[in-house]
Amino acid sequence: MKENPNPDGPRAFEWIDDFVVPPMTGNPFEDADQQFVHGLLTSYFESDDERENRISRVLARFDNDQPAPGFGLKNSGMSRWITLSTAAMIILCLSSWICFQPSEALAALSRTLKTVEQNVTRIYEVRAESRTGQSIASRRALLTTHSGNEFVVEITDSPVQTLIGSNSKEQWVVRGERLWRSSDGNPFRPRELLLHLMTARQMNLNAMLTQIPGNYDIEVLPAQTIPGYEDLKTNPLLATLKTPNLRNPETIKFWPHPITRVAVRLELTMPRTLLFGGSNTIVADLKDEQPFAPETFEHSTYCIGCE
Amino acid sequence: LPGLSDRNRKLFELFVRENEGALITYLRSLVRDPGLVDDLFQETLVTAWRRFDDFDTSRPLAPWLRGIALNLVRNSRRKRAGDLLQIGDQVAMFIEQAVAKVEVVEADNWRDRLAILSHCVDTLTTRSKSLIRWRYSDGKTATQIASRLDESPASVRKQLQRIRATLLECIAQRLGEAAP
Repeated sequence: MKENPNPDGPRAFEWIDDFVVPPMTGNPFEDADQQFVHGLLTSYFESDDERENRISRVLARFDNDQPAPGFGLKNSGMSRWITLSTAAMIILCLSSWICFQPSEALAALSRTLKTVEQNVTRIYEVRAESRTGQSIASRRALLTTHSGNEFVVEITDSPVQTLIGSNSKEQWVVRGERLWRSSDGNPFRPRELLLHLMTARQMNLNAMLTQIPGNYDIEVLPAQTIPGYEDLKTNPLLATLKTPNLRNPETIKFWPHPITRVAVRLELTMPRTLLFGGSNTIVADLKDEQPFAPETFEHSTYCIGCE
Repeated sequence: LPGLSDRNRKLFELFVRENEGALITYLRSLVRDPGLVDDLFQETLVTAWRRFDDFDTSRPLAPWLRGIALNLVRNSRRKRAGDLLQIGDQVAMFIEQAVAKVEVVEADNWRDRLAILSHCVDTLTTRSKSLIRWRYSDGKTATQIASRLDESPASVRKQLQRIRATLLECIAQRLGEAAP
């Protein structure tokens, strides 16, 4: 590989030195030269601690892939997106939690519940952060929801396309070019743990209705500006789990829109468990509302020709 | 079997330690977002471990790993074009060949193989060494370095580009000397 004697200017390698959009030179030899030396230098100057931390994260990932005690199933290394998906499912089911709380604190929430029943599809951007010691791991997802059993969770920062969906006929998981469907009649293996986790509680609205009442202390907070909505104030609600357990969020805070009453932002703190790791927070922001379209919740919309 | 999972874990750790250096260098050459590099690094090693039965033992392991990594990079690019390089087939092939050349340098591990780069960095001028250290050891961007030197970011980028080209010439020469 030889250096191009006439490189087309310093902007060509901005991506290397400034992390901005990477225009390339159009000369693959020069591109390869620069990228390769950049890779070498980054590795050369990496400290031993950074390197060991990187290796530790891979080993932790390997450990997470091992069968979970009591399940006898492989988790398949998907714990991070299971975490996020489970959290998203909790967000989905807040409506059922709302309708069983004391009326004096939740008159406004009953109006929010009515917005959940509207025949529209809502899209939330979900961010999960997991803190273990000094390290912070984050995940992002889009939650598209119409009702308790019609939703799609897309893990947006996974290197492999990953979606979990549900409609009135079936539940499904798309991972890369693989498709798992509950209607196949075959058990979900090895990812059945994921669906067990979700279907057991979070995806089943009726189950939530019977389990959540009385579990949370609720308070209406002073009016605050809704994060991301300048000049728009509302009274957020804060729910605190009375008896900590490994299944429910420890706290749930959400901001109903002052006019529409739609929950525009939710913040959850999750329990510390083997599954969830260290301290965890999940934030969901309403991004869009769209007319309901049944195909949104069909796997064929996302995975054409999947096996 | 009792102890089987412990043994698997130890084997996996050996597998990771043996291959991580070349693999991370390869990924850093292809992907600019350090978080995504880390994700792809994990995904490649775990995917390879799962697919180990597919590996043809008559062939070298490292290129097989990089093949898995490149597929994952390409899959990611479909979703996150803004965070990835526009990797042409030629660029990917040249980088693959370049990493493979370093890989055959006789040394105990990747870290020791990078000594070839250490020698080349030592031959740089004091100013070039400083630029490289600020950029790669301190993690400063060209804009931050430019601010420190009271120069334009474009000028710093150009200098870094030339330094990398100089280093490559040195590396190519050293690799030629080190070739078996």
